[in-house]
Amino acid sequence: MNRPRLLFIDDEEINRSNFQQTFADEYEILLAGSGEEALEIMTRESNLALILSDQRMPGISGAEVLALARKIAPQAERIMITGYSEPDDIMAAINQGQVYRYILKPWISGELRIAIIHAVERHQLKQENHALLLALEKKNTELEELVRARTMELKNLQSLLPICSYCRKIRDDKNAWHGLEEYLLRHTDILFTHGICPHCYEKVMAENTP
Amino acid sequence: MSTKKGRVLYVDDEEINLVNFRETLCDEFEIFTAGSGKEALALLAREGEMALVVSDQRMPGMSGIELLTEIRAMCPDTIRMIISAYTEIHELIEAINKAEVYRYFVKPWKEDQLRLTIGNAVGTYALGQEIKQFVEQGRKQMAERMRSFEGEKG
Repeated sequence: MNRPRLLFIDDEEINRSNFQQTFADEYEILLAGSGEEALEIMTRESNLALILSDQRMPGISGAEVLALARKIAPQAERIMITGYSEPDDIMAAINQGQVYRYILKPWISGELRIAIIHAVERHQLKQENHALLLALEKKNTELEELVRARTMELKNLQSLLPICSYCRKIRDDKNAWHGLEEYLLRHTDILFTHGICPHCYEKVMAENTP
Repeated sequence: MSTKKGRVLYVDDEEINLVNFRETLCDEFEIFTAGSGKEALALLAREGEMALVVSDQRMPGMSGIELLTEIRAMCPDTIRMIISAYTEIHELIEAINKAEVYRYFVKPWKEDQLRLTIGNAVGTYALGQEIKQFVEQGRKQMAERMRSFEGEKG
C-alpha cells in the first residue's frame, strides 16, 4: 500500500525541513514555499490526502490557499498551522477553507501527529465510500444483466409446451394438466375477452333450437 | 411530510433571538428552538435527528461549542454552526477542533447571508443522507438479485 501523500505549505525553509524530518517515515511529503507553488502542485498531483498550510505568507494567504484547495483538490482534507492568529483569519479558515483542524505554532509533534492521523483516516474513509458506491453500481448492473439473461433462458424453456392433441390441455412442469385458458392466465400477462366464433355459434344454435 | 427544506434547531439563551430566527426562516425551513444546551439535548432526544443545529456560543451552563461537540458524537451527520457576537481566538479554534463546525457566523446576522448558508448546510445534509440511502438500497437490491438468481438456478 502506498503511503498517504501530504502537501505542506510554509514560506520558512526551517519549518518545511522540520516537518519533512518529523513525518517522512510515515507519509510521502510534498513541500511548497508559497501559496502559488502549492496551487501548482495541487493541480498537478491528483491524489493528495491532506494539505497543511501556514497562514501568513507573502502572496496568497493560507486561508486563501485552502479555500482554493476545496475546488482544486476536494478529496484532500485541510489543516491550518499558524503562529499568529487574528480572529478574521480563523473565521476565513472555517468559513472559506472548511479546515478540519487549526493547530498553533510552535506545534508539538504529538498533537500534530494525531491531527494528521485523523485527517488521513477521514480522507481514506471518504475515498473508500466513494469506491464502494462505484463498485456497488457496477455490481448491480452486472447482476441485472445476469438475471435478465437467466429469465430469457427460462422463458425459452417454458415456450416448449406439451399439449394434449384431443382436449387441448397443457401439462405443467409438475405433471398436472390445465385448461388452456387457466394455464395462460397463470403463466402470462394475457387478458381475455370472451366471445364466440362463427363455427361454434352455428353448432350451439343448432343444439338449442328445438 | 413537510414541504420545507429541512429541520433546523436554533439554540440561544435570549428569547428575542429565538423569535427573530424563527420568524426570519420559518417560511423555508422547519424551525425548532431551545433556550439552553440542556433543553436542546432534550429536544433532540424527543424529536430525533436534525439536518442542522445552529447555536449561540456564550450561554449560561453549556456553551455552544460544548453542545455541538456532544451533538457531533451523538449524530455525526447533523451539520453544526455557531452564531456568536464574539470572535475570541480560543473559542474560534475550539469551534474547529472540537465542534468541527461547518460555519462560524457573527451576530448580528445578515438575513440573506444566513438564509443562503443555512440552505447550503441543509442541502449538504440531504445529499449525505441521499448517498447513504442509495448505498443501502443498492446493497438490498444486490442481495435480492443474488437470491432470485440463486433460486432460479436451484
